[in-house]
Amino acid sequence: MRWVGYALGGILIVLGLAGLALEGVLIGWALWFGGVLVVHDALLAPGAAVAGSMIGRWPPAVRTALILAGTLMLATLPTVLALGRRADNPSILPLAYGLNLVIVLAAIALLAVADHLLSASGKD
Amino acid sequence: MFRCAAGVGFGVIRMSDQPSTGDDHHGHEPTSQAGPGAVRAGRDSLTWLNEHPPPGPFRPEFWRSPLRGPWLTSMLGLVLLFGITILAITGLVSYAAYDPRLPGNDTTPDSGLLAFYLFDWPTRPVWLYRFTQGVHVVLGLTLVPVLLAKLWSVIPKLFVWPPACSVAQAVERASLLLLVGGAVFEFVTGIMNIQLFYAFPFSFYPAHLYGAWIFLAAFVVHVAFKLPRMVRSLRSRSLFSELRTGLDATRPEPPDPDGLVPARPADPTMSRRGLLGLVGGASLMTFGLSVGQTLDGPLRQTALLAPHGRDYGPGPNDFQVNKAASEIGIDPAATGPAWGLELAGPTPARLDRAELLAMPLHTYVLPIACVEGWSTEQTWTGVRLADLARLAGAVPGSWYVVVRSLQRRGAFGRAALSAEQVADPRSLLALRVNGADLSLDHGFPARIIVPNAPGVHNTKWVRKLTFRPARSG
Repeated sequence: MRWVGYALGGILIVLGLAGLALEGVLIGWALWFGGVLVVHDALLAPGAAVAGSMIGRWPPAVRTALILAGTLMLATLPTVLALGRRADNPSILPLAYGLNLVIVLAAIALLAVADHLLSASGKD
Repeated sequence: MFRCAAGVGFGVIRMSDQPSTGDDHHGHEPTSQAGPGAVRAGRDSLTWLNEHPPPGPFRPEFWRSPLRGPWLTSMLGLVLLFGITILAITGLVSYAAYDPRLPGNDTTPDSGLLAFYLFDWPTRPVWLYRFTQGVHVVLGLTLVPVLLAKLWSVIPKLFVWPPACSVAQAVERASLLLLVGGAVFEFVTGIMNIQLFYAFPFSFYPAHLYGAWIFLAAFVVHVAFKLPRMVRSLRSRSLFSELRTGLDATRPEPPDPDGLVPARPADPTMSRRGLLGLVGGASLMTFGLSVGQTLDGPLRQTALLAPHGRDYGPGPNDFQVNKAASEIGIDPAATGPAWGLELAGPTPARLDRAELLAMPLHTYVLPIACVEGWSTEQTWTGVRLADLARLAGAVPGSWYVVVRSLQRRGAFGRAALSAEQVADPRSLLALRVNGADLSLDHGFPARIIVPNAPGVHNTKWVRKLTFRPARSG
């Protein structure tokens, strides 16, 4: 059974690599595939570990808010910085994303403060 | 596993050959011990290296979160198992939705065997592509926090020492490389693409599609391997009781063969309930901030950080466009009185806009659904493609059409629509939208609108329709 899995997986990988090569995007794919691994393993993971060791003893509400904010900014960075904006197409990236990000972050902070105050009376 | 010694399957006490340092049975002194007796050659120095990892994260004592353990990893894995399966299905469905078997439609013509599952994309229900692609994009964003938490939960495995001590282990770690690299690649390129940030040095379509197959291969192998362990781990604790366990009662899971549970756990600073709540809350947040771009009406404005989140206003043409006329080289003069629609078929014809408007006009409410996940429903008025087919001497139902645009730059200046799409009475060459003439950015003088077709197949600034008999079978 295990070897069936290996075989199927191996065939799919070969077909995928062949497709990438035939469409002429193999090198670019490989660079980015390795690149995101390096960014994850060498930057994101150690960064998270260091950040975690720094804020580990902070109040849970504060840590929660910081993790939420970090995740949000990681997932929306290209939009917030409007990196894909084009002068000849006003329909794409039309909003004031910096302001909207501040609004969302403020909402997170507000929830964190509320949670902190509430849990100060009754223990979590 | 953490050790190479053969025949020892359960390595909780990893480095068990190592001398213990007194009563702290977790601690060890990596440099003080070279084995009893004299220095031995080759094999022994390798053994020594295996048993003496470099400092820092390569040592199991480095990882101290008491929340890490097989139950937590399995819980997050279960969510990803379902979530990624849905992402895979909706993604592959999207490829099928482009009807790549019609001439010229395939953006990845070399897919070969991987195109085994293609089927004729239907025109009903009209909301199907809007739904599947909305799910693909919004669910992808929703799973970002889950993926990050899952990677966090297994990060000690990245630093397993020694790197590999058997072929089987080397294969397993290589498959994990494909799994993690593949997952991060697919999420990063997908998220960059929907945010219109095309910084990658390759065409998105083939890289995301073939990258997905490579990722899925590693994913299937991973699931096949880990499924029994996942089920066992999930049964080891009750989610319900975890959700009622606060910080004070939070204890590490029992030591596990994979070494996820820390050798020297710190005191918890967060309960499992807190961690799951945090991940769930973060997912809810990314969901809530992106789902609005698939909705019409006031809820659209909740998509505060979505690239197409804007509700434009009350005007008939006030809705999103993906590509503006100026962006892809539409010459406004070519859309003026000189414009005419060319019909190619057994009885070629040329119609100007007034002649088209004099034909029987039909009005349908149909969505535009973009591969980037956003969608909007509008009211379109125009001539049926089936009527134009008859005019050109084609038989609706057994002839397909190749649509050509005035656009000079960019992709999708041409698209083929299937015989079924041509025959559907709601498939229009639209001339008006919401009661007004199309604006230039929405494809004036005429654009295609086909129920349930991906957005870019609703070609704008149409100049020519070429009808051809469909191959039967």
